[in-house]
Amino acid sequence: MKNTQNRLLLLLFVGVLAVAPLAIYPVFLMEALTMALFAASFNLVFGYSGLLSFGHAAFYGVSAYATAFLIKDHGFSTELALLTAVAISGALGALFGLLALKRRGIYFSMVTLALAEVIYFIALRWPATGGEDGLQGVPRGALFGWLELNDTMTLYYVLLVMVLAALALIHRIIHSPFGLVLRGFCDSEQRTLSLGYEVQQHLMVVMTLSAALAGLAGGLKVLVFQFATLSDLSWHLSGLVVLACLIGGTGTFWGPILGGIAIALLHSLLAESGSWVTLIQGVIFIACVQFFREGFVGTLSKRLRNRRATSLREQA
Amino acid sequence: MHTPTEFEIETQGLSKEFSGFSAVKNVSLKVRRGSIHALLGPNGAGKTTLFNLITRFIEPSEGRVLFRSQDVTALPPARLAHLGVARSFQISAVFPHMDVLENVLLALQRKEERGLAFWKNIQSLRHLEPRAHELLQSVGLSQYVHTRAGELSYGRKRALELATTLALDPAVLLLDEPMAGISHADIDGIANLIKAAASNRTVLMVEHNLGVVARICDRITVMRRGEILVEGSYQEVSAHPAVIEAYMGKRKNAA
Repeated sequence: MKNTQNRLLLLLFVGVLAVAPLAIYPVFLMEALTMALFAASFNLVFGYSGLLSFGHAAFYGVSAYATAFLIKDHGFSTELALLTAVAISGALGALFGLLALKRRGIYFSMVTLALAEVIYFIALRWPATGGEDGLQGVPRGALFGWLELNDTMTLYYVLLVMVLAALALIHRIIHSPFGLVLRGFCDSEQRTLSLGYEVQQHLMVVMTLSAALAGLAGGLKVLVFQFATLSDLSWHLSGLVVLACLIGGTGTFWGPILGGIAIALLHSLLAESGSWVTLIQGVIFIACVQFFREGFVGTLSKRLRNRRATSLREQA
Repeated sequence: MHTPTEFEIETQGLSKEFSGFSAVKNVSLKVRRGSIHALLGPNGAGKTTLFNLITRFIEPSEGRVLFRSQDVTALPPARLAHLGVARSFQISAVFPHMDVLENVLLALQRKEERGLAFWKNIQSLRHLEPRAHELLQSVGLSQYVHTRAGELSYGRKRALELATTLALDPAVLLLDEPMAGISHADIDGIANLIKAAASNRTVLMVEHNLGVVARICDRITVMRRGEILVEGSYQEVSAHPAVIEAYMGKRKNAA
């Protein structure tokens, strides 16, 4: 029964997204989708491994810069630029992992934050990244030379397919033998070690995967907005993705996706109100931590589980 | 004397100091292959520390640990588990957010590969489920297969932990107080399970339940203040004056 429910939910999700651009501004939808992917990739490390990375904007931003740089300055084709950028982000994730995974808890968070700040500083000072201006006016090009991405609708569906494919991969990672080990680590590192898992290897793999997928989100964002700027690398963004996960529910598949969409929605609704966005985000954050600790999806699924348990008990 | 290969686990002059306090002092312990060996002693005698030293969850200040005559002192916990030395914990260690079946599957999966297959469907572990159900049945958890481990009672968590440890099919089983928190009714069942498990492996266990120790253990080492006080069969040990004074006497009075 649970399986059919999930399948219906998935069908609904894909169906709504397939027709959504008829009613909703496609650029907003694309922003929401990239944010959802970013949050879902972050959730692999935060929700499923229990490690609060506070430097995930580095993976998103570096890929954004790399995509922009390769297309604009080196004439790479769109797909090759994206692919390269994702690989660079993945490698960066492995490097972060190598340095930060020696620590746990708050120390892990601080090392990732520090490393991300180093990347930010490089982007600010390195001439090739355009300093304060970032890289502007990146042509979208044509996918495989024939899908003209300047057409917003085409771009939307290309992006939708890529995001769905990436989310499918994330779903698989969570529901794989590897994902089981990660969840074990999240619950009890000691016990996972005593079962004979060399969890450090698993953590390196998940950091790399998460960084590469966050990189895909960053690269896709460049195709949508045609620029990469320092804000793609800023610690604000690293914080925002934590918020997206918390709103939706960490450690659930759907939570960060909905959370990411909610954050994008908030941004576009409050775009005119300037600095109020930050204040409202702060209030939401506090409300989530106080009343909704398991996020929207987490709370909902708990309710459902309890109801099912009660009805089972009543039947018995 | 015995040839060295008769012993599955051996410690040589193992010591651990915590800033001046000796938790374990010069312990040389030999656990014979195929035996059930009990560690007894009052609280603070260093039994759990000794376990942690053997499995390298803490680093010894001095001494060596041998597994089948091979020096494993420097091996990290996961590597030692790979060689076939599995342990349980005093404070029950289950994975609380996973269901009971997943707890066992995670352990069973270890034997197959390193668990790095992120591209494979979890359904690929299906073939391990019959074995998982078998293990759960042996510890009396058949009814709780889909319960979250965190929602189990303390005793059932202990039973689950035993099942996951057995799932590793280890050569050596280190059990830290397997009977603690187990209800009276279930104690005999768990004791029989340990006895059955020991038919083809070696068990070293910390246990306070003397009835169980007397019934299933072949050899007993009594520790006090980090040192070995006496070692022998249950009859030898329980007749030893120092043991009666230090440990058994109090127990008997209390009971």
